[in-house]
Amino acid sequence: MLISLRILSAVLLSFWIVLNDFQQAVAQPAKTLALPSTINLVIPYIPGTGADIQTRVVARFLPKYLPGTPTFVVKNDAGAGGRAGVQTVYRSKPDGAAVGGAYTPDALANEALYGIDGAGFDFSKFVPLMSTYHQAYTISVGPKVSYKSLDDMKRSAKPVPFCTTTGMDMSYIVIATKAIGIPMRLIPGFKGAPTAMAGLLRGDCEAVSLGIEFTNRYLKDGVRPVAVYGAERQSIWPDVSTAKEQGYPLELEISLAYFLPPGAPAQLANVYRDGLAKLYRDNEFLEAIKAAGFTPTYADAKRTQQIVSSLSSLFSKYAPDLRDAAAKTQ
Amino acid sequence: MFEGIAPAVAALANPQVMGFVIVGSIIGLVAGILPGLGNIQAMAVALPFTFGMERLTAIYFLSSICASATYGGAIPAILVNIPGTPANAATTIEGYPMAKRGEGTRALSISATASALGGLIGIASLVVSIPIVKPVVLFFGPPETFMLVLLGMVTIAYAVQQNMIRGLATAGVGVLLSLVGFSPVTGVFRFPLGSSQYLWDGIQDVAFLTGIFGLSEAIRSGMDARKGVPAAEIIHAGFHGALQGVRDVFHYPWTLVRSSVTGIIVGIAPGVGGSVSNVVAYAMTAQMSKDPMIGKGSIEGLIAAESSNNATYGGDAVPTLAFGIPGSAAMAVLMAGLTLHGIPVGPWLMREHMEIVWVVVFGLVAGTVLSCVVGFLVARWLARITTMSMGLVMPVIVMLILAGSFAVRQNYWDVLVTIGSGIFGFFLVSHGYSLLPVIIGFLLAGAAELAFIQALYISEGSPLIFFKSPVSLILLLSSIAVVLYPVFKSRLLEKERKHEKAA
Repeated sequence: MLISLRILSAVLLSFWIVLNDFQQAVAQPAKTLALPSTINLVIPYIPGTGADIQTRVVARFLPKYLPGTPTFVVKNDAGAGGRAGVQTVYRSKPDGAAVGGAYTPDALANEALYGIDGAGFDFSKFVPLMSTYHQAYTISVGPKVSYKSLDDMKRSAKPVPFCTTTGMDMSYIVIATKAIGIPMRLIPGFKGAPTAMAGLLRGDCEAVSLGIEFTNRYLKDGVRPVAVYGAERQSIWPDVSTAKEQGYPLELEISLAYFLPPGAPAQLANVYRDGLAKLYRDNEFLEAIKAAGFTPTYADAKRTQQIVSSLSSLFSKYAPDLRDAAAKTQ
Repeated sequence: MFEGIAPAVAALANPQVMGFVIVGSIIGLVAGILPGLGNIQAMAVALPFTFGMERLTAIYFLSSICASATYGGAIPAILVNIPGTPANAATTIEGYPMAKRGEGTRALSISATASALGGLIGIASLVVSIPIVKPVVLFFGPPETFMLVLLGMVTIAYAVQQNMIRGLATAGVGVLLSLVGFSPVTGVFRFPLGSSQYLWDGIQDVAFLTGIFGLSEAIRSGMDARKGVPAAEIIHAGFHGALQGVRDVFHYPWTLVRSSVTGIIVGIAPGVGGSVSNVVAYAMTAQMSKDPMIGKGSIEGLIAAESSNNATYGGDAVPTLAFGIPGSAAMAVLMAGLTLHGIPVGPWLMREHMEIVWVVVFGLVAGTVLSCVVGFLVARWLARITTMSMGLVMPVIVMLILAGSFAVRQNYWDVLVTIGSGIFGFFLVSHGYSLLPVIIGFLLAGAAELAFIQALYISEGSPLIFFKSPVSLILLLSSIAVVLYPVFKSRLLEKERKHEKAA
């Protein structure tokens, strides 16, 4: 028995040493500005989600536009309601070995709900590289629901039930209904947009609020758009009016931003920015993104910073309502 | 419905595609064998390698990995009491005692056959349900999901039969452990134990299960200085033993079908997967079986556990292919694979790309069958692990358990959870408590709570929502039958005894 216990102790000790070495090796700072040979592309989402799929296509095509053609490894650090992955990048050394990717409204919703200390990051301190997948949010109703306009929903005698996931989707429902004055109640707990959409089709709720490209896939099943929260009508839904046209000047948009940890040198950021700018002009890459079902938009670092600032103001304005909505679901 | 079969079959007939299917099956099998890894990790790693492949080849490759890991997970479950994946938790209960008494080859072969047949039944259900798939998926809202999980929960009635108080106490601990973390419905962060983040997502399944089963067994082996099974005591070894395992499965056709159907239904319901179906089907069989060996190495129990978890893939694929709702985490990765190859998954997939649906179906069939054939062929050699001294085997196993626990999220705390649950499992077993109620409580309570509260949100607090749909009612009646069955059974036995005495 003693021998077995000794062997067991030795194994545990060696295991611990191996893990420590591993961590130290990972934590080695880069001595020069040259990009590391392996770069972690960290996203706070599980494999299979829209952000994951787009990021994997980026990881596949980006190396050829960077010095030394580094290898990108997509890390799905999807914990703590989407905070874990963003925190991982926030705490990483700004040496280029870690690049983050996240839906801007998701990260900012976490900041609004939990504060900078609770979220574990200050999104404005990241060094933005670019953003993509800019698309308008929409509000849609189920096949058997009679609302035809935002005013119809506003006049509803009872609170309109919305199926929702967490983060961005829930935040945008709260912000939009508050801004427009639609009485609503949330039905939370749906794991992912497709599950919320199935809830809508089943009649668990009357409305959902999701991105235009995703919602578009379900029109043949009877889902009916009521409004688009865009600056103007969208080409895929030319007949659907904007909230602004219906008298409610509200613009809500998704965007997938890529960024470096706080403190990353401008020279390093520019290497990535140049590479990403070239990538979004590569037809083969653009076709791959389109084939995966996404529209490859591009906004440079400056425009991305503007999007972050504008969204940050919006989320700050509605932070009490978001916290109130979160508390009401308890 | 059948319009896409020809291109799917033609692609599979290509030797290069078949080669990738074989490689995929072996990758899935190996990932399943390694504790902590499974088809999710294997597919995520394999995804970048599919970029250079033609898209049908890539989907065949990923589908075969997806289907083959669950059988792989049965191998360490049977041989060393460590579920290779969470979907093999119940497999350990019957498989490991069989291996300990020298029937490792037979148990592996039973597992391979039950897995293959269960998988095929599951996939057949997918094919049959293609024309009516949308209503089937929409049947399962939160009230129906709650009733389904409740059916699983009441199987605790079996697990606590021998000692009601101990059983309910351990089940309660399992339920409490499952409640740790952030509730997606109520928004409350429960039992954080001072952690602001680590416990946000609750206690990790892999870390907990590998600890409570595998590490606790390693500790017991170390304390007992246990020897391996002497070679002379090995029975049903060699090819004969493997064939015996195949024959065994055909002696229990009803158990095979019932457990597979349980797996399919669990798969269709969103948010619950193989880890749930494995436990539910096993516990139902344990409750209904007349086999005195249940809990001590029963063939029937092993068939139930292994057929149900493989059948779940057919059920999982139904919402995935029909609506783009991933039936499980593994299906989410498969969906990502499809999307990356230019096939966005959603309701139009079955309208516009039936050939892709068939490729997924044939890929799942090929992965299931090939992994089980490989498992069957190597069973007699793998079973020799049980003849080795546990003092030599267990340190390696402990290393694998801890590395597997760490590998899932690269988090040291997961390793500590594994060690803690290992000590907890050791304590439970050495004091005569069964692990089954803890596992049922741990795996099912979270899903039950989510569906229950969500249903009440939909109905604005009215409990009548649980009795409105026929599916809910059927599931509720089944739960009542499962609870009452042991009572009737004991009364019948009592009557029989009285008659015998009178005679």
